[in-house]
Amino acid sequence: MGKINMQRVLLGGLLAGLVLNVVDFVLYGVLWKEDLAAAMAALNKPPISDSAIPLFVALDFVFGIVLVWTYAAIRPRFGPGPRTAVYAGLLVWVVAGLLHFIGEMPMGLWPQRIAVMGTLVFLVMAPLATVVGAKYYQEAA
Amino acid sequence: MGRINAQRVVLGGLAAGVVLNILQALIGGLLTARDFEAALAALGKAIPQTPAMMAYYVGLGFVLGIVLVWTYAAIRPRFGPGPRTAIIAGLAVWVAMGLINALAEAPMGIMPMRLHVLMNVAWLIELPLATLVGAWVYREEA
Repeated sequence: MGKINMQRVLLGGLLAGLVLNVVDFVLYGVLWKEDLAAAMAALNKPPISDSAIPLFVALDFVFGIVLVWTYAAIRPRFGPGPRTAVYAGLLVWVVAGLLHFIGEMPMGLWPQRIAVMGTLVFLVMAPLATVVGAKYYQEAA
Repeated sequence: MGRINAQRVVLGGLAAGVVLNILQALIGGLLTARDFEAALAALGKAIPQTPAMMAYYVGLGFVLGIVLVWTYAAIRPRFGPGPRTAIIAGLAVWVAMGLINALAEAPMGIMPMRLHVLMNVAWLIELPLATLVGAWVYREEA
């Protein structure tokens, strides 16, 4: 089996990151902004500073690259195409979303509604971003 | 390419889970337990120290072990069978589960930076080692 095409992982990853950034902006920057501030206040913490936004944007692009790398890594097992991209997105969701949620749940750090909704949104967002990124991933036959 | 051997994923995953739980008790206990309890206490939170909660986290360790070995099995045709691929799988899971989450949560200042670093150092050791053991158990028909 050939090597992973890293150039295409980067290209697809940036596109996947774009999808993640758009969804994150709408959710955490607009719809849930007040809820997040209230959750932080409940922990006696200040609202998340706007100066952290560039880091979150960059992290979404890194995450996009991780998603497409995962797609490329499992592609020889499941074959190229959107089905494999969904598998890759689901795998990353299980690791970064679901297990994280289950691990943090007993600590009660976040309001249940935000934690559950955030995990469920990620369940849709991760496969969707991977499908978009995987579309631009190619390998020599 | 053949299908993933689910029976061996579960078997290898349980072996990886044993390693994870032991390492978490040893490395995690030594490196992070005090800082973690102090950080939660500073937030007015605590994890109940009950047998049920211990079972909950031990069970989570076994689930994570199965995920690690499934990841190994999924990338095996790409990188070939063997310990190198197991380490790649462990590192990939660490990046997604540990590193990126820590980088995303650090600016919120909920947990101290030191705790993020210590937990990630622990996982960086634990996850590849557990995957190595689980992958050693994993088999596929030629």
